[in-house]
Amino acid sequence: MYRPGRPRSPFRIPVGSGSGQVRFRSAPVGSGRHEEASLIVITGATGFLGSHLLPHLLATDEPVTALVRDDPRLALRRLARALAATPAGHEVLDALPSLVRLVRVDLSAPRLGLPGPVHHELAERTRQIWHCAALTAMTAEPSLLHHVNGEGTRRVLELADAAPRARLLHVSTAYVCGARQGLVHEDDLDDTAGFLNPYEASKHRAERLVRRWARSRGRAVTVFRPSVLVTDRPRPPRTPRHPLSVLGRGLRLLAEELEAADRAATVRLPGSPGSTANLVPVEYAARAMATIGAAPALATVPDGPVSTYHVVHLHDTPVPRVLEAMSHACPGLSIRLEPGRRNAGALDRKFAEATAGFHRYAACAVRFDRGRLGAATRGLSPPAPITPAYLRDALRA
Amino acid sequence: MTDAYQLITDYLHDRFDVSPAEITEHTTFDALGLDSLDLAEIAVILRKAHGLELDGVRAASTLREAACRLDEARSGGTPA
Repeated sequence: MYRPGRPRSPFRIPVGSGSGQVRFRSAPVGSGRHEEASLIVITGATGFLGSHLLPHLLATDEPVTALVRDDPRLALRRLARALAATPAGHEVLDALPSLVRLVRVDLSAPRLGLPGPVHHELAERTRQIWHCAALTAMTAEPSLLHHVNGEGTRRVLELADAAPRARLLHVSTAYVCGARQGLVHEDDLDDTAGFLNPYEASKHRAERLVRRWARSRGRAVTVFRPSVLVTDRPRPPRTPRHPLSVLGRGLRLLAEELEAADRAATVRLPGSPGSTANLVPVEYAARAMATIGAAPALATVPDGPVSTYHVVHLHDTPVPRVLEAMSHACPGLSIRLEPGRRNAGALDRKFAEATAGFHRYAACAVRFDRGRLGAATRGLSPPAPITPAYLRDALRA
Repeated sequence: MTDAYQLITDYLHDRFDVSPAEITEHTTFDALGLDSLDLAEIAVILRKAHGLELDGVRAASTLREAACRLDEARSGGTPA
């Protein structure tokens, strides 16, 4: 539990980062500066994005508090596993218990389920709130998605309300654009095209809450809209998954079934050869977000106090390239795109289930403007285009 | 402890690097960091290797509950 003023054990204070490497220097036991310093608060630190972002946040000279759903001892183990799977995570593992304070919260409860004075103290000291926690399962129950993503955001806004000095950095998704096609600008947010799944709808609703809150309070908010966050690094057991890892696991299970039935199969998806997906390496995305978070919030942007960034790849990935890698991950399965196809057979439905909603994106031709992201991250090299080899490794993870 | 419990914990150790110190029979799969996809994989392995179905087990289930399900599957149905 969160204990204001709790003496801290010996720790190391990070002094900066460069090229993804996080460096630390020693600090005296029970540093007063650390005790009194303002906080960076993060939700979702044990998740895929959060665990990649955390080392960058630790590379400031401010203490980090992670709001977690588990008992702190359990959460610490979960966090350590997740960090160990990230490029910079090894740097912080040894000192993790002293670098990150874990506070058990209920993101759906008033005041995060914390006693009033504890919530007040947390809010008073908070300088930044990174809201990364989300349910990202595209085909989860809509009510559950809205509860976790909507209600969770509401409670984070409640914390931000009580934290007058804090800047909120909200992690949304590029796919709040739903079924829109063509170019989407960073300030666009409309639901006229509908949504491809309840996950998109829940994140859209959450972003609306954030924007409404920012306008009504006149508070600076940074909204990050990452596209599909991926990595090609191997995934150790019991660490957070990314969407292609989920897809790969589903395909391997489907391959088991096809092998057991001793047959090959063809799945036909509605889509065209010109369809694209935007996949962005999480290592780049986390660094870009941390860079933007470290700079002052934009004072004037077209959308009032909210500055929005499409944290996306410069190059879209052709859907046929993804499908080829998927066929590679599922021997015996051939995947074809058929424009205008509507009626799905039994195998199509099984494929849709195994791939957790991916099939809806086979007809996607949306592009994301990244002008504001590019301007804010000029020092960062954009990632290389996503190659077939990268996709195969990502699906294997 | 039943053979089914041992089977599950052995598999958790071998495949998911779960140490004995992390486990009690009241531990849930979720607490160990396993999700529904991990459970699906365990179910496939149990089906292929032992012909057993791991029905009704979720990430929130305890290891004891999972072992009971396996024992039920072995005995051919739900005990009275």
